Amino acid sequence: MNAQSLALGPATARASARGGMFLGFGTVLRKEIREWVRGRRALVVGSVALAAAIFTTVIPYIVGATGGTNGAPPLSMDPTANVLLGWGGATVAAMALLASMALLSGERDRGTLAWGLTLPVSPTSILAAKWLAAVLVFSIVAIFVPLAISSGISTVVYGGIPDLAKIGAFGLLYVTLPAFYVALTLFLGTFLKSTGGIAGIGFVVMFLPSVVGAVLPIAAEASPTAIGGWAMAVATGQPASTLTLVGFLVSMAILAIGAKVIFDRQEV
Amino acid sequence: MSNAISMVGLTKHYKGVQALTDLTLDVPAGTVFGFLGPNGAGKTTTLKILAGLARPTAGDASINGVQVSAAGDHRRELGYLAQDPRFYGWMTGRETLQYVARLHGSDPNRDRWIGQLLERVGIAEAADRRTSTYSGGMRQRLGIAQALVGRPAVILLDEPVSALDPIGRKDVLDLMRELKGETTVFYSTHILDDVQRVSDHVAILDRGRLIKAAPTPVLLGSFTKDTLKVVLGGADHDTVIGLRQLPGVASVTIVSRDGANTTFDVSTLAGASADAQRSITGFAVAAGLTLISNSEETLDLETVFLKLIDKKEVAA
Repeated sequence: MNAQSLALGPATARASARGGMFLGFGTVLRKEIREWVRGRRALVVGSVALAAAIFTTVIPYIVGATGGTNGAPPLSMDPTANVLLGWGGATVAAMALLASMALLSGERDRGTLAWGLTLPVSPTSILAAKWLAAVLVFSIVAIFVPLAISSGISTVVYGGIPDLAKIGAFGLLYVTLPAFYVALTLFLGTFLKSTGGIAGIGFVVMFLPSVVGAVLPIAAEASPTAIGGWAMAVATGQPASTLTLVGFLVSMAILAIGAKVIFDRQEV
Repeated sequence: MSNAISMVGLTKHYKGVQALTDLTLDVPAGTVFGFLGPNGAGKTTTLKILAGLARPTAGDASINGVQVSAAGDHRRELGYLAQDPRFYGWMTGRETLQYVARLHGSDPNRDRWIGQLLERVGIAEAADRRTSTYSGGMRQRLGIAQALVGRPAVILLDEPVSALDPIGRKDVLDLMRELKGETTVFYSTHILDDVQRVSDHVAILDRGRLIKAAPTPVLLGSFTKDTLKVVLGGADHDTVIGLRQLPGVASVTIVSRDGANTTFDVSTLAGASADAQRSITGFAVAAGLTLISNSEETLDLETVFLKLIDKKEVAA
């Protein structure tokens, strides 16, 4: 240190930030987005999602170009259908879970969560900023960019412009899927210290409704994990269950309130 | 003088451990306040409660008049340095300070202020390096800078010099001394020499209970009051008898003998120190003794601290 002196000035001279439940929210949100981008998480998630989207979009073309379907019905060459072809599985859900499982536990391990909670930030702002940043970045790199690029590829490969309104509507509705899984991992992270434990429970939540649904179909229908299928059905004009949307909204409310209550009481 | 920190009946109970018991303490604004205690005394628990990292089982606290709560509004009034500060490894030192400064509110001179802080804590050259490359000492320095960057009314420092080398320790103590009057510095430590050098107020905590809180000179003075340290050359057994008969003297004890010199502890009657000193000087001249020293006894903080802790143990 050198001999330069400091003049702090009166503490009251500083501008006061907005207080309350969302104290420091904007600053933490910007920090979270930068962390996603600079930590290369966004690049990895985006690369995997893009590769999967491109591959599933061109499958019918490859099958057609390499000698047909071996007696199975011919695959559709519809540009819109092929852009949406790969979005019915669990890939995006699994990626959302894996990408967000350490949002809280990682910070707790590194000691930065305790530091963050000594700054002028409310616990609610930390949770809300982490959730929003993760959903925003994930949706852009794992949903919108892959949809846009595979739409372009579909136009070239299948010789027609896909229905962009339908694809856009699907993309917007499909954001509910990462929204749910990020909320789930954040909720689990408020009381579980182990990242592996969070991932484990996340995967159980992901697959349990399908198992239970085999016996009790309404359970699978009301499960928030079915929200991806619901988004596809709504966007493509297929019948979609209101029960799924209700199940999604109720579980999001439970996760949000539960996370806030537990995190507010947390000692680090 | 108004209080920058007020604690009323703060109590913290962890599973099976009573970490803090009914702590009531006021920290005057603008002071450098040393919070002393042996390991496990409850110092870090107190600081964590003030920072909002732990909730008290009972009691209340306020920082610059703002109630300490989980919502975190009071944290706009304080800067906090943990014992082992950790920062986002992907941020540079400068970005870390910018992040904290933004959370404290808008400041048109932010970048210049951050530059000054980086210079002052001695990490300006590493300011644009990722903090993941920083050593423990550099993190400590960055930690002090981030505690100051919001120009808070109160700075809480948990063992601020424990991870520093002697040069770093001196730098931080100089900085704390410099902050006196500018802001309130409330810091925990077990390095008593540092407290004596920089703190104008001291509180001593042991096993979660407040033993004593006072301005440093008052605390030290309360243990030296009415005691003189007298060193005489050529004293013998009769000297003790002679000293005991002097006006104002209550008792005399031989502390040590070093060749011809003898050191005495002379307890005086309440308020009679000056009279006793005068009579001792006269006695030495009359008895043909060499008066080497005749002064009020001065104790260092370590001795006072140990006396207080011992007293409590005896009482317990």
